[in-house]
Amino acid sequence: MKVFYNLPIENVKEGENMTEKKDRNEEEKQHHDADDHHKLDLRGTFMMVMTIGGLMVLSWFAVFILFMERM
Amino acid sequence: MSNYTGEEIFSSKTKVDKRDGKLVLANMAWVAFALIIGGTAGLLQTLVRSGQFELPFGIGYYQLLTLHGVVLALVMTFFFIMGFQIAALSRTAGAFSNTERRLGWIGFAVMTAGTLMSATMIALNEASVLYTFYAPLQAHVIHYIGLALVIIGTWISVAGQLMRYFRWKKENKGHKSPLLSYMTAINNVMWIVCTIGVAATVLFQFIPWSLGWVDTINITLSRTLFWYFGHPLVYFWLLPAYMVWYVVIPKVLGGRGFSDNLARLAFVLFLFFSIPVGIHHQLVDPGIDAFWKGLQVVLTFMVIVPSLMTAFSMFAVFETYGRSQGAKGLLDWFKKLPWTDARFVLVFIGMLFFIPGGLGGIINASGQMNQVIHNTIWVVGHFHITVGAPVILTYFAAMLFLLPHITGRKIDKIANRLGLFLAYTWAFGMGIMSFAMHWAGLRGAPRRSQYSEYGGAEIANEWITYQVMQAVGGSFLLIAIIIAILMFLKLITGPKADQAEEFPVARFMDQDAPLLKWVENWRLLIIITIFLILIAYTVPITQMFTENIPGAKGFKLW
Amino acid sequence: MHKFEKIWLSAGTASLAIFLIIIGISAVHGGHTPAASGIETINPEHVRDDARFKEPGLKESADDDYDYDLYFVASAFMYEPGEVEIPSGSTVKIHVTSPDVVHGFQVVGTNINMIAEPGLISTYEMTFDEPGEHLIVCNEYCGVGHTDMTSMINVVAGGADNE
Repeated sequence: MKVFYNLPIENVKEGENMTEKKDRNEEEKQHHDADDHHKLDLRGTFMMVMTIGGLMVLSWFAVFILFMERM
Repeated sequence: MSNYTGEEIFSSKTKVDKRDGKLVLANMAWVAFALIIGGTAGLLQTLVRSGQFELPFGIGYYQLLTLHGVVLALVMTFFFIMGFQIAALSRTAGAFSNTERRLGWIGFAVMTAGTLMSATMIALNEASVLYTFYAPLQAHVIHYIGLALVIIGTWISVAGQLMRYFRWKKENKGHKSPLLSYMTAINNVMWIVCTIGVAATVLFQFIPWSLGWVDTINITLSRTLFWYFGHPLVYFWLLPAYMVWYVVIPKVLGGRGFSDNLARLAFVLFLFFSIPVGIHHQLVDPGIDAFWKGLQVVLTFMVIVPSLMTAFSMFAVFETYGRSQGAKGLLDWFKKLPWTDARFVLVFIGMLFFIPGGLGGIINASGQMNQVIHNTIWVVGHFHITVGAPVILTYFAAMLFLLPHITGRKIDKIANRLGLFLAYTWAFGMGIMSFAMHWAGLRGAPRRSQYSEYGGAEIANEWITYQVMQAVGGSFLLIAIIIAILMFLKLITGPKADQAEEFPVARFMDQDAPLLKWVENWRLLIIITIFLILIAYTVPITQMFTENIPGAKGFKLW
Repeated sequence: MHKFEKIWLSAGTASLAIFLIIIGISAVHGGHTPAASGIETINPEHVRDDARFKEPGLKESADDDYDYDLYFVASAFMYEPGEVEIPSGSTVKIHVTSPDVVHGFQVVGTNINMIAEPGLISTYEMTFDEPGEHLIVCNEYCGVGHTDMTSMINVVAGGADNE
């Protein structure tokens, strides 16, 4: 247990913990008032979900082909 | 007791009521205990199936497998869900009334009694029928009574939870209910509607039959009523995990939830489409016409949609947060996520497993394609990377903050480190084990089998290699379970803090958008839910009565 | 809704719809409806009295649509017949029932995978083109002997007599 006792956790101030650090971040960021979804940059999200969709199609057809081969 | 309609919900200082907290802790104690017993059983199973191990003390393999399924899939999950939902309601709607809390305690007691009854029967080898208890294998009547009591116990607890939610609605007319409270209400309504099926088969078929009051049982009907319950069961497990993903995780990051309205819509879709789909577990059963199997396949595909919505919301929250921290590229916002916070890492790893988990589920549901993998060990791989990863890891993440929140402590560095080790060890063990299960299943390896060389058949050698792999994976999983238990212990011991650990509740980007009124029109929601069930089930179930299918006598073949 | 979400959900649901259409056409037109569908009853206590299951095994079919009927009895803990030879190229309709508890009937390496229930007969039709061995395993828990409940289908070359 001693090995990881004193390893630093990113950005946590002395005496603070996980959640207090997050609360502080929240107050320090004012970007999100009344966010309109359409203004958001979601290119990365789009890429991730479309990739998952692609995997969905690939994996489904792989098993479909297996099914047809066993017919 | 106060009702929260304002900013207090999002404050890190708002807490689960102290008295409700005791009830939550009691439920969580069962979770930890069940995890140890069920997890140990699982490891022993993989060791037997590797061909290198024999069970000690005359324990039967199928006795052990029954224990594993009942303890993890029913006992552990139900106690967690009751505890978590009570905490969520107390945290966002406000403290329970004495009556509501008392119902929670009575429910807990009844669930405990039922669990102990069934566990005793399983231990006495009187109920080695596996957690699906398919007829006409016949267990001791006390086992069925025990299972019924577990369900009835949840009804009692759920009644208190629904009372809390509807009281908030009454005392805050015209206001949008807190999202977390709303989500528990959806899950609870879905639960009540779907448990009617398993309660009906247990109370009106299994109990009279195992008592000898009736000679035979209608097998097709019993299987169908079980799966009418059995599919929504997995959403009952999943929705509390989604509650954490939608409402807690954005606050853990320090950002906002993506869309409150879309989250409610997703949950409504789960309510509608989780139940009228049970026959997709019976796609190769006789006694059901192909048309109704096909209809339920179509309905099953509809329940995939709210998960597609959830995937988008999750990434959107991560990306928006990452960009608020300065990320500019296509995917470099990933680096900005809190990779040293175990609450996030446990959930994220769970989400990763849900990708192949979901894809596998779509394949399973695809009508005649189900024959490629039906009752093979692929299916076991599938549910281990759904309930056994995204769901359970999220439950662990919830306990990571709930336990100190309720006991007046904070998550300290050691507990957090244990959480990280838990996440990575679980991922490693489950990755190896589930890969081996999926692959062996595609090669035809059956599920619910112990060790056999199948008379020297060539294909069996291949299966056994994967079973050894499963034992390796399973061993790492037991190590992960030990880490989890240590983590729980760390979280409830040690010095108390001035300000207890937060139960994070996120504000949403569209927090002030007007509510879609119909999502809280419960009469409408229930009518649509029942309507879909009637369409999907009336004819097939009627046929089970009218087609003169001979009933079956009971057998005890273990 | 964000435009990317609209695109994603459209693409996602369109893919699901395509899957359903493929499965649907394969089922209706290709005849690949899910195994064991339908309701054909039999008294589980009189399975052995039934002409078809008295001596289970491969029988020439009286029906023009296929070559053989293959009758199996699945019981705790064996299949009858314990082994069967099928001429390659023949179309076989398999019928399985159980006189006791629910069993599985999975012919490894094929799409034959269904449940055998006492009181009902499960059927599936398949053309066995390739010679080879196919292990049959029980994949629905039926008791202590479940794991070792097996049979074997041997598809032998030599062609089917299709007249």
